[in-house]
Amino acid sequence: MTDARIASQDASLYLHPQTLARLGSFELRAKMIVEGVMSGMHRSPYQGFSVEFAQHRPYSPGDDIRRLDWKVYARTDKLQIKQYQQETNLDLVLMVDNSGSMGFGSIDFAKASGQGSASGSHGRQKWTKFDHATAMAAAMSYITLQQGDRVGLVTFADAITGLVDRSGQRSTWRPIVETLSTQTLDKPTDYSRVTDQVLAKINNRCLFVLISDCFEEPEHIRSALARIRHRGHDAIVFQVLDPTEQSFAFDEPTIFEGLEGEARLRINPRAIREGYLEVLGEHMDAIERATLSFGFDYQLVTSGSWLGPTLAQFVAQRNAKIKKGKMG
Amino acid sequence: MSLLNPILGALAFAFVALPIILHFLKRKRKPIQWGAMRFLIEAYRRKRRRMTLEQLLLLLTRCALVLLFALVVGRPIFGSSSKRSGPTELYIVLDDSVASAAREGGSEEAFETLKARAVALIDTLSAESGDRAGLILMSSPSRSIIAPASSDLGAVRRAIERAERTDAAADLHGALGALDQSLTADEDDAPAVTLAILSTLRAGSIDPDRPLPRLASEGRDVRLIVSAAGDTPMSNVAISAIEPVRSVVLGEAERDGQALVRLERSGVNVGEAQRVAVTLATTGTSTTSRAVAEFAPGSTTAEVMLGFVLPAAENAGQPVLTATLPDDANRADNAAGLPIDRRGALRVGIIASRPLVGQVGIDRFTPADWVRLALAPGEASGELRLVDTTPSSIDAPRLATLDAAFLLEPDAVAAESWFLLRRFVEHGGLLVVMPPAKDSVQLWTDAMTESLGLDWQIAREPVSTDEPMRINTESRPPSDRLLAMIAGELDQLAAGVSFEKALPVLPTEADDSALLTLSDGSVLLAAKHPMTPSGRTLPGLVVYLASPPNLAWTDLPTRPLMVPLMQELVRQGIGLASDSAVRTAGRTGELPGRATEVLSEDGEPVELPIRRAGQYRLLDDAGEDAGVLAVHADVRGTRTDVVPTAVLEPWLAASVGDATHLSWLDDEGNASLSSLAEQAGMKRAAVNPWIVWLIAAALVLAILETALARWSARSMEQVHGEEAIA
Repeated sequence: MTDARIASQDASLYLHPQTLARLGSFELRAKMIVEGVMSGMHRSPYQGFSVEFAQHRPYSPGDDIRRLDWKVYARTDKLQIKQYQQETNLDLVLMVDNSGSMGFGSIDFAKASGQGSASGSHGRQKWTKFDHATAMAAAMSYITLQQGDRVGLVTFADAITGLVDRSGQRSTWRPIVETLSTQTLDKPTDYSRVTDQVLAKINNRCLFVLISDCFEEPEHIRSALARIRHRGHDAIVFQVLDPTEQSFAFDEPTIFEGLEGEARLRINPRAIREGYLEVLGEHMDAIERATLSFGFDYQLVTSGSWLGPTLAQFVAQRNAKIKKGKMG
Repeated sequence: MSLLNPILGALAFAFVALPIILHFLKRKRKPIQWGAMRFLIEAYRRKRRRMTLEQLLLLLTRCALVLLFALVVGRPIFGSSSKRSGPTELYIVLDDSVASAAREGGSEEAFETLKARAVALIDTLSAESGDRAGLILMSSPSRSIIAPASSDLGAVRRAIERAERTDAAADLHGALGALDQSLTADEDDAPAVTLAILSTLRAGSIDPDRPLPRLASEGRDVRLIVSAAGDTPMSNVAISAIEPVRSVVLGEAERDGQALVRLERSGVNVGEAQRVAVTLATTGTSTTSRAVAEFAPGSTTAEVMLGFVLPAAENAGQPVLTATLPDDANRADNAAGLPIDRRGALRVGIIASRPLVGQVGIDRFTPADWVRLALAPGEASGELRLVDTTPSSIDAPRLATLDAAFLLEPDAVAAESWFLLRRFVEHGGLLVVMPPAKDSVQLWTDAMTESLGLDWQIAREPVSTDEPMRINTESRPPSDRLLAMIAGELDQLAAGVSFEKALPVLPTEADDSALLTLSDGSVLLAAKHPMTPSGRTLPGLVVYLASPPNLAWTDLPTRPLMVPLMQELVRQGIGLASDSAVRTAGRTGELPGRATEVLSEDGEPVELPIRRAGQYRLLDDAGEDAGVLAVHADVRGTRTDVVPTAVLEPWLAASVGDATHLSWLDDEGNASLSSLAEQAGMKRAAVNPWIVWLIAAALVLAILETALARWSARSMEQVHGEEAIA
């Protein structure tokens, strides 16, 4: 069996039919008008205005060559794309965290997958946060590609660990799935560095979907979101947490060992539970506040829950917000 | 504070280590891979101080809980025994009296059991802890062997092991008095005193009618621990006295004699009739005599007369009679000896002025003549040797050669001569005094009674009646030994004797010295031992005949009574006047006669007072043999009657204040200071409020521990209720 077939099976595992069925009843709406090389079925918020030239932007692979401004090319020898205001498109950049902490899971894999499989492709017995994040990313990329929008993927820890360039071709979904299924989970995260690396590769405005446990200093995440905002992008933050991380339901004195190289800690969970939940709550509040302060959306995702309801609820809320904010 | 159950308490205290060990014990567990480690570390950082405090508090609470449990198990003594937390000062008052010779189980003397308990008590002390011990022996007179208490516990132990039972009576009063003198608190932090009285506490050891002295402990707490009183019914018969009918045996040839053996009994058999076989043996002969003494129901005394044979003087030294009884509860009083006073002849002085002319008719006989005639009726009489002297020539050397003296003209005795006569009497002499046959007022009587230490009041003028006075033999005292030999014939002998005049002793109620009285009630014949101003009776005997053998006063000289009366006055009087060679153990006092030193049967010198019954050799100051001394067990101490605890307890407790300071040793002899403490604390433990407080505190701590333990679990319950933070 080839690696490709393994990846395909993993992807299909993530894209549970039940999940896709729930998503299929909704249209994925862009939060903001993204200029892109593709004109699609997305309705422009500037509908009713004449088609007007808006600006040039550098050509990127995958752009329709019919949009090239040949005159500019003739004068400057640079490939520039003409952008028109009525033409909107959705460039979706999926940023999936594959740091060590994402490798934590407390739910049996078989139970989470819904198919009775005893373990994942890497032999893990537990359904980790990363498993949940990749399922979300695969589903969102698939739907986006089905709508003809462009999708790119970035997996990251303390640096970019995997990259799939944006593309609107439906075959792009396969490298996305392969990339997601081949990541290792052992490094810490560095949002600032990764954000800088990603933003350096993107010229047009995109919708960034950040799927992470956000186990990083809130200030660092806030700084990263600020750069995204500064470059005019939009973002959705999915904070993925394991249910055990949210309840800390341990009773006996236990040795805890960090997944990102932290020191061991022998502790009585009953004695520290209150403090832990307090710190975690403060952190989640900080992340949410930072996200909302830039006009981005924030969603807590529990890895123990089904993907479908979470994404469907998010998309519904997202569409309602777009309609209310832009049309009104 | 001390513990009544120190062993249990120590074990319980050891369990304090348990929560400490558990606290630091780290079980090996498989680490959990944890993603949100940063929050855990941060929470730990924030909570570290509080968690450490809570854990420490929990540990301390659990330790305190175990400690309280240990205290409850160990049963502490607070309050009055607070000083017991320091070193122990233990005084053992050991009953080494003849009472401890009793054999309750029939196997060994109680004294051995008491010694074993005393040694066990000493063994519970620790010199390293500053414990001290003292030893006082109870037999009379009590002895402070080690007092004040010594830290050399080994020496105390050896002193106990060396202690030997005596045959003297117990003197608990004296022992407590000696202890009281030792309880001088010369240190500010003098430890509490534990006084252990180890005795059988039967009637022979104690006298509950005489209150014990209160120990003046100068602020020190005195705790009294008493060995269990003997409550086994026991019966004991003791030889209280052995009295020869003839106190002095005259002559060197083999002779027969009789001796009266007096017995006393105590214990459970007093209410019943009892027959006891008595055996009498004499040294130097192989013959013994046996007789049975019978106690009447309810009577505690009995007596029996036994005959004996004295061997010829050349065959033995001083003969000694020995009476013995069969074995009973206390064997120490089942034998008693009596040295027989055997003399070749008696020297009797006749103190009277010599007549100016030779002997004339019988009507001109002086009293001295009649007395001389009565004492030496025949020429061949060699047992009584008469020595004539005059009142004016009385001197000490002459008196020293006499065994008896008849003073027939006391009015002629000079004042200083009375004191010579006093010394003569004190040395065991017999002085027979008769008034001069004068009708005038007689003033010599005061000088006599004063110098001889007699409390007689003698008339100053002769008493005369119209009708001649007769001897009233019915009022004779039954215990009279002076006339015992003629008592049977006295009525017949005295029938024809009449008295015209007399200078009688005025009868007093307290005086029991009258032996013969006249029909008017006045005293004709009286005998008494002289006494010191302090009331102590001295050896020697003074006999007063109120009417001298003068025909103008009485017809006694011409009657058959005269000779036996004079003879008995001398023969028995000398025996009664002589200092008896019998002593009671512990009360030997001065040695008889001229003896100055006592040797045991082994020839070893014996210190006074002699505490052990038996026979001892006496030596005078020249080292010459001075006879034999028989020492009897003190029968006051051999009474085996059980004294009820209800009587004992308040009586004993009075010495230390109240009954809360008194506790009893168990009867098993498992004596240890811990069991002592346990028993000492019995009464107080029942009402000791500290135990209640300890239990209450333990309950509070248990609740606190539970609350603290659950405090850590509180967060979990909250989270379970909320299910999710978001």
